[in-house]
Amino acid sequence: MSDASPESFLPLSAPVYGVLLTLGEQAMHGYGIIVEFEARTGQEGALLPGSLYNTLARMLSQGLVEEVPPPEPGRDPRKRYYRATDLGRNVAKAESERLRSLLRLAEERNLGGQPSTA
Amino acid sequence: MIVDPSTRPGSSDPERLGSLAVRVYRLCLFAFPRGVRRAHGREMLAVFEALVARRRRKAGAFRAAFFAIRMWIDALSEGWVARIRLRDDGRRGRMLDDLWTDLRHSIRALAKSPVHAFVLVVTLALGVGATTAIFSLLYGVLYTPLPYDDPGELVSVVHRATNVEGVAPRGPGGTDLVDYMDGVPSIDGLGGVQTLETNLNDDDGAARVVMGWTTPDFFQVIGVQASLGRVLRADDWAGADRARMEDPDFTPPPMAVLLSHGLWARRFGEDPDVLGRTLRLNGQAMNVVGVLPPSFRLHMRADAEISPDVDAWALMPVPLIDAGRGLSGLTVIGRLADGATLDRARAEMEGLLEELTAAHEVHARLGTVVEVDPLHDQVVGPAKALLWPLFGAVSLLLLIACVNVANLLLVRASAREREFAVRAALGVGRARVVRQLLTESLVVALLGTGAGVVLALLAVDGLVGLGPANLPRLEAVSLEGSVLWISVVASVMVAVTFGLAPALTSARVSGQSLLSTRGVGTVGPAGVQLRRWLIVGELAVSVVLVAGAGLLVRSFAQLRAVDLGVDPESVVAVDVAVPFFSYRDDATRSAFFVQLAERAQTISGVKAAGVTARLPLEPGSGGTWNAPYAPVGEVIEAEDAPRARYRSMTPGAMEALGLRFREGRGFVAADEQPGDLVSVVVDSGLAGRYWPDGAVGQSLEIRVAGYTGQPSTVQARVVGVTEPARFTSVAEADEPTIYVPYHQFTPVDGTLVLRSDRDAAEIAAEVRSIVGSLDGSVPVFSVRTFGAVVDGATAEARHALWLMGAFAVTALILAAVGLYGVISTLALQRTREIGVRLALGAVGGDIARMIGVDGVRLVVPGLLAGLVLAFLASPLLRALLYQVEPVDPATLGVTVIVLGTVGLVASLLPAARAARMDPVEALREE
Repeated sequence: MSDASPESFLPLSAPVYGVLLTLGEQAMHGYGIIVEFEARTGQEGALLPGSLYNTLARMLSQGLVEEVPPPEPGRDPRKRYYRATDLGRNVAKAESERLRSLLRLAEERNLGGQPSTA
Repeated sequence: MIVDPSTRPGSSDPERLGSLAVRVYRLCLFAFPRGVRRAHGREMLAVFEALVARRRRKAGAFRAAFFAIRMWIDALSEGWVARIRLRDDGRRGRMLDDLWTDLRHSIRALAKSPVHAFVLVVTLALGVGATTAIFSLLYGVLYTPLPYDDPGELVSVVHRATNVEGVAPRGPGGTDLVDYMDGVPSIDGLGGVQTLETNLNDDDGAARVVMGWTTPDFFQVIGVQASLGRVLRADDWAGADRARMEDPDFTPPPMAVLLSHGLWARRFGEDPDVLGRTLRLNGQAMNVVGVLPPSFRLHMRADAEISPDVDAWALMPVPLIDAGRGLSGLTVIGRLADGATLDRARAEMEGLLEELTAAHEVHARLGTVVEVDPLHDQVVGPAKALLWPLFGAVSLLLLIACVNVANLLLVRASAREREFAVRAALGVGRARVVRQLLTESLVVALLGTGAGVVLALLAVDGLVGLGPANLPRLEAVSLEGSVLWISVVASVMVAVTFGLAPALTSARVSGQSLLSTRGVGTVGPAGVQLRRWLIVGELAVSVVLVAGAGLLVRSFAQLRAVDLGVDPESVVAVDVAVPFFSYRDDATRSAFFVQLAERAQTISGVKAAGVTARLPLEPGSGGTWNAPYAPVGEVIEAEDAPRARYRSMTPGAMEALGLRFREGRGFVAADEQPGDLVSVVVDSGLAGRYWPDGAVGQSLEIRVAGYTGQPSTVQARVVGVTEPARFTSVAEADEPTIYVPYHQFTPVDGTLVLRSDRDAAEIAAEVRSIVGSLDGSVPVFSVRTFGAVVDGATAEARHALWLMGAFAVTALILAAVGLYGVISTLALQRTREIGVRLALGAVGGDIARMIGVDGVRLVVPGLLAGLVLAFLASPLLRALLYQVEPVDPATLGVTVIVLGTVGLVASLLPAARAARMDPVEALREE
């Protein structure tokens, strides 16, 4: 899986992209990912544990994320920490590039701003 | 309820509710595949807990509870998503291995009791096969849209003469039709068709073909295109008015002819260059303009005298406007205009007919009403009377089959309970046992339904091949996938449910307890009770089927016992047709047929021979006519003048048909000589009405139709009186009948009837040589025996009887098998009790009685419930019965006796076996 090109994962589903963006360069546990994601997007309940762990399980098997030891040992042993792999970050970049080109197109067509209320 | 902790600090409620929510979430996590659950389950629980707590802090307990519910749902749905993904991803190998092991076990288990397996498979196959076949027939015949353009827009249009008894509804008269074509906005077009047999002559010789004569727009109305060339259209008309057609010196110009695919293949070997070639049909030159697609058939009202397979088509030579008002020989269809409704079309037509009635006396005299109905309803309507009861019967059969399968599986499960108890004791997991039984049930179900599918395929072919002549649209019948699936799914569900239910029961019981009770209770009272109910239900349903078959047997016997008034034994019939244009003159035509009859009488071994226009009990009424008559002193033109069916016959024809004379005589050669007074023979019904003291010698006025000319009224004298005969239907008495000499009405085609004990083919050969010596261009065809024609007339009743009888017998066998199964298991379960009783001095008779009573307790309620069901179902059969009431005490009585006997025998066999039991053996059994 890990030797696949980043483009072969595109387009990403919203949870996968969300997890990769949230993780960025850091290692986080599941609860942390959910709280961070909510804080960044302002949407409460946008990522629920069922979907998150389903997504994480798949991303682990695809090599997009990996489990790392807790940064501060001795905390809650149930908490496991995850970090994006190089592949995962490259996939996120490729997805961002894809979205950027779409956004450019949207702006050219005057569809890039806020929806009008009329 | 969830309480906000901020209002009740220190309360334990939120924690308790929180922990409840966590426990529910833990259950929800079982939706995930084991791998995910093991890797992340604890984490997920922790995250869930933390998120609920956080939400409670931020938004209160109420919101937190909703949030928890959202997360439960999220876990359940995500779990299934993960499972599906996992199943798609592989790990199939292990599952396949397990399945293979289960399959091998199942087949071994089934092979251990082959009779049981065989009965199960056959029962399922019968249920699935019969239901699918009959439903396919029903669906194909009743619900396949007609193969025409927008068939839902097609309507059938008839005129009914309400003032005249005994006249079937027919197409509107040609002149009326022209008025309808112009005056009804809701109808886009009207077309009429009439089919007649005619002679075809070309370089390959003479043949008999069915000719379809249509109005100019018929093919545009019906919406059918030619597969080669084009269909007929209005500018093909090359006819002439009536007067010119009857002029012996007039030779009509060549007409356009459209060929059926069949005739094109037979006569032209599918030659694509056929367009423009010339055929001679009935002496008239016709140019081929097109060929119809192979699938084209004429589907018209069921009671129309139309042949569905027409060989060649041409426009009617006589213009419609000349064809008169009232009722015609045409079968008429119309097409609703875009957006028009049937009701509006009806109303408009009725309105127009009112105007026509005010303007034309004929409509007032006939009491003409116009009927507009969807064509499809009219085509298939009468078939419903046969098909729905059959479908009802076959559904009951499927029900019985399913009950039997359930029953057999329950019996078997109780017999194997110890086997499973042992396996449980040896540590085989419950899931494994359940899966094993499930596989067994599935194997049986698949074998049974597989055989059922094969049976259904064969049965559909057989049913179509049996081809009950009165069923329309048989060409549209094929194996109907949807019902096949329904019956397969029903059978598989029954097999799986009942194969599994006892397994779940037994799997629930611990091996220890089952082994210690040593199988006395088997599946327990509930299981036995269920089987008893199944058997009672099965018997009840069997009563309905057997009673239905019994009614049809009685009805068929009544039908065969009808006095036809003719004697169909040892009678051969052959058809002979002369070409119209060389025999246009009435006298020439009748001379030919009278001479043919005379010569036929000289064939050795022929006792009597004569020509008539139509053999009794063959479909159609061509060559006969319904018209008024009047004894001398009454007026034939009177509105209430009595009407009779007129049939023309040469001397010898009545004797050949076996008509019995009450007084007087049949026609003799002298009656064929034209004179002022026409000799007629009447039937006793008509004679008794006017001349109870003897009709011979009495005078009357009759209305002769005229094959080419106008109808005319002539004076007649009665020379003989016959017993009433059944010409039109076995079931219904004919209209009063007047027989007239053949010269009074001589169609171009006649049926030569010969009474002889000789072989039909030999007779036909001699007839051919006689016809050849009279006129080499005249074909002889349709050699048949009168007996076969009579058989054909009762074919519908016979087919219904065969099918229903087959279902009833199957039901009876299934019910007997089911009953036998239950009583034997009951006896087996009481083996120990029997042993004890025998040891205490009971004799075999007591034991037999004890077990027999078990049977009676099932049979009696089953029969009673069946009688109630049969009573409720009886109206369904009414349309199929002849002179038998749907609730017929005699039939029901016999049914009860038959089923009661079968039931008793099925329960006495195990009872007798129990009585012969050795007490020591019986006790050791435990």
